[in-house]
Amino acid sequence: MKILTCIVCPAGCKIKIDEEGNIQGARCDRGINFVRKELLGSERILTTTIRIEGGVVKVLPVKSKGSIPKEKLREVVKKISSISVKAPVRRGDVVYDDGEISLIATRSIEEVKDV
Amino acid sequence: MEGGSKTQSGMDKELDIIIIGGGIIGTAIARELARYKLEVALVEKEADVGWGTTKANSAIVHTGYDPKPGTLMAKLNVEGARLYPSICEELDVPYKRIGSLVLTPSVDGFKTLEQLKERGKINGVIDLEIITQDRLLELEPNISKDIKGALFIRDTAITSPVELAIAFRENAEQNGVRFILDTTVIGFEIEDRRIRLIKTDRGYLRAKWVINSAGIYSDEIARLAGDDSFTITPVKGEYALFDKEVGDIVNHIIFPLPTETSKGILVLPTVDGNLLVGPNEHITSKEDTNVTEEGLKEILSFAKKEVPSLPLNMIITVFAGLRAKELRRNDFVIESSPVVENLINVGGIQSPGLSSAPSIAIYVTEILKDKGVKLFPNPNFIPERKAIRRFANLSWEERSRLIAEDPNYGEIICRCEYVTVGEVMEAVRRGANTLDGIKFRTRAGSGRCQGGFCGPRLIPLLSQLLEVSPEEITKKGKESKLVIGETKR
Amino acid sequence: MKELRTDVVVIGGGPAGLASALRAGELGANVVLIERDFELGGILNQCIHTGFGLSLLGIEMTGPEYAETFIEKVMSLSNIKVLLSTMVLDIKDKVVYGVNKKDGVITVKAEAIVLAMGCRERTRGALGIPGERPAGIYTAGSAQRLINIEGLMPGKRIVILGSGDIGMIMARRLFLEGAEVLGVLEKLPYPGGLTRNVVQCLEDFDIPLYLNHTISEIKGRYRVEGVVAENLLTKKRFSMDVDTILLSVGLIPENELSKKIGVHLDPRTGGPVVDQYRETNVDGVFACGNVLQVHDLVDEVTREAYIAGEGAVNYISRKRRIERVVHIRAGENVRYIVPQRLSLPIDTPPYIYFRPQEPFKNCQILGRIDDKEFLLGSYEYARPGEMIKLRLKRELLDSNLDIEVSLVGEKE
Repeated sequence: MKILTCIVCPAGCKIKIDEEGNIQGARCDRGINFVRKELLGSERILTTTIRIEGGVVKVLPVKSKGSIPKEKLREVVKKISSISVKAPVRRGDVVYDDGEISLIATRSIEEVKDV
Repeated sequence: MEGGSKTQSGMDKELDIIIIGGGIIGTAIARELARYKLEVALVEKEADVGWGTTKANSAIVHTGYDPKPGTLMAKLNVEGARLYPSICEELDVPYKRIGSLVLTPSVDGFKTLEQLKERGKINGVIDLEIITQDRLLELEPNISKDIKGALFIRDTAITSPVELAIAFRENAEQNGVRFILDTTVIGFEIEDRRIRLIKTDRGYLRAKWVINSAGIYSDEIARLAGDDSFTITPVKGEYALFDKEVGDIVNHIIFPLPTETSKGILVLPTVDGNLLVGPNEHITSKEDTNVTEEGLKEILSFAKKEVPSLPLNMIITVFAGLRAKELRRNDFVIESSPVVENLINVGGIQSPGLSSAPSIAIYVTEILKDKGVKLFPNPNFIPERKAIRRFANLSWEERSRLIAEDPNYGEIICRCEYVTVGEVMEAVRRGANTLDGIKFRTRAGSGRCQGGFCGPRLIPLLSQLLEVSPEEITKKGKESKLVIGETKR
Repeated sequence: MKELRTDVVVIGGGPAGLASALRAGELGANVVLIERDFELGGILNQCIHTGFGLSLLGIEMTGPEYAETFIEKVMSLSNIKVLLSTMVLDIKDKVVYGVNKKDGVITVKAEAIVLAMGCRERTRGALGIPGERPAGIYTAGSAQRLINIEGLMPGKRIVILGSGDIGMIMARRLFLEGAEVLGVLEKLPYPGGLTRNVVQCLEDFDIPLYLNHTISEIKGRYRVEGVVAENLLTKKRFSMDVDTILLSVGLIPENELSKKIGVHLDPRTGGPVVDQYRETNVDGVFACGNVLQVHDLVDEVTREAYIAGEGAVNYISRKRRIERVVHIRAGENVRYIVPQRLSLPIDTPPYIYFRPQEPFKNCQILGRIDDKEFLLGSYEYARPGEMIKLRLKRELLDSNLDIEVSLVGEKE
């Protein structure tokens, strides 16, 4: 029997899965779905920052569209460490897509206006 | 300098005087010598002045009642204390005459207080009064009722030692003294009993006279010249600094009865309105400014006996300093070296070193005069120096005008101490190039959040002002880098 | 000097300030919202991870997304004036004094004030950790700002003291950015933050969590060179080769301004004593968000801020009817309760927020007046790191008697 802590919401339900695959302890369906997915392979949403040129801030926070296998997270961050985007950016823009992973801007960044 | 990897132009010629060590003593001497037409340079191993013992002590200007009569300490303390008010006025450095109390927990202790009063008379300090418990509690309502009475010394004052060292430096520089920082003296070339060349880790210097005011390391500097006439024993003192909320829990500097070796663990306000507790006294090594658990317990439990309501949860930081004691002489060592003719040792400057700094500087100048150095007054000497205007201390009207003159004063970067970007920029103009350098000139980072808010903002700001990449910004010079680089390579 | 007049002034433009300004604005008040940073959003701007909005908005968002959602709403109301890069330095007689580059000194005279200044982090100095004072010691929030706003990496080999949420989130962040995170040291026998963070920040990446541990010494004179970790139970010590220490050892509500106007603080929360409208003891001064109590979820900050914003507007329009006041006290096993006061009469029993003193399981929350006890809620788990919110019972509100809220259960 396995006990997994669901991470979908802050409640952190401890969910039990027995040998027959029965799931107990989830307070909602999201928990059940999480556990099902987790048993097949841990995947997580990646949140990180990428460089932005010409914006009012220096780095743009992004999140992955969909989840990525846990073991790949660190190398993905390394891979995108040399990308840079140009301001302006709108929240929700897809700022990177290499076929494997795509990154969405989680905020808007205005261009710096020269006075 | 000649040779070395970094050459500074104009350093090739022979100077008149080189001062080794930029603490309160070295900088005081530099400023004093700036009054004369002399080519003077000061060499300091850290990135800024005042980062040795000068930045970790009780910041007290003693009146001089308590050193042993007849010693150099007694003479120079009394003279120095008298000079302080005018010097702090000239140099725009805080000086508060708040008075001090030496407490006695027993009736027997009054005898000791009487002895101290007598000693004071001999030394020339007469405004000393023995008071009983009633009067004591009027002056200090938070003192323990176990205390029977005290010796009240009205003229004891507190100041800001690092600010004073910075002020001495700025004024000395303004009047022509050169400061060579981040440079360590590693040897001398001696010929005919005279120092011909000073070797540093950045090249060579030449001067007719060398003043050794290297604090904890002054005996090692002397030894580089073959002079082992004195030995420095480092004696650590640990401190706890409390939030300004409790800065007024005592109104005077609170001393216990002194022991043979030490003035004891104190409770006192600082010029900025914080409360300071410490120091204890333990012999250690020259590299040890570690605060220990036991040491902290020692000073706090002692303080709590005198001030029972002291709230220990209001400590904002702890630190330790090293006293440079010469244990055989038990006095200052300010004399021409017995081995090398053009070396003047200024060592063993433990308490009352800070209080004596201005008079030590004059005393050293007199030694130079006796040795034949011509002291022609510098007609262009400007004695005044103004501190960076502190936004936090201005009225609303003054603030309004200041921001109108320079909008950078309208951007607050240290929210605990209300320090503006304008002040940081001025500090950089005056030579600050590290986070601690900014802290000591503006107070940014010394408040209750200890740099948590301003730190991440100061790094890019300093990077911009000093025109270096962020990873070159340090906390206190040398390897104290703050960041390793950008997240995105 | 620039002088403004308004109905409601909100100090702080983070999630609490945004929501209270928004609610007050929606109810028709003229609002001035003052923020010290160059943009709104407060701490959310540097919280680039997910965990925001699931309860309130039904979607799980990152901090910046949550912030922008509210910033857009605030900017769309013409009766909310936003002052950016403006630091409030003083409040006197309902006049707020601030400074910025553009206007210099600016004063805002208001009928009601909402305090939403958030909190600061507890420092190393306050912990009295022995050792040197080298570079490389950061509070977790400062390090987060460095990485997520300035794009600068604090170090290569990290140890984190304190298992609060920020510490754990930074453990993950630093790990993903390529640092080696040698572990998280927690002095208590249980983690300080949400269980989900223990899983998704530490367990996911095999970052060790050492419970019952602390740092007994810091080595390194100019830059951190290592720490000595100590097991508080066995007293055994071991060295950790690190160049960076992150401190996640507690948040302190930032009430320096509140103290200036005579607001009474609750020593249990570090924040003002308030009633169910979030009004402090000073007439017309309200508080919400982390300045009032340190929250775990921004969704609750927003809900609380809505209450404060509405409270401010009702105060101005004299809509409230207060006949009597009762106090709510933290009883056995309860660390604190917010609100600490109830202005009665009240139509709907209000929510109370509290935390247990330690972790419990199979517990009940009880409300008591005099000798009558009422069950307010039952929980399988109750942890200090996870705030509990529940409604008071009608029966507790009908008298003049103070209410005591306590917890009974099995210690975990």
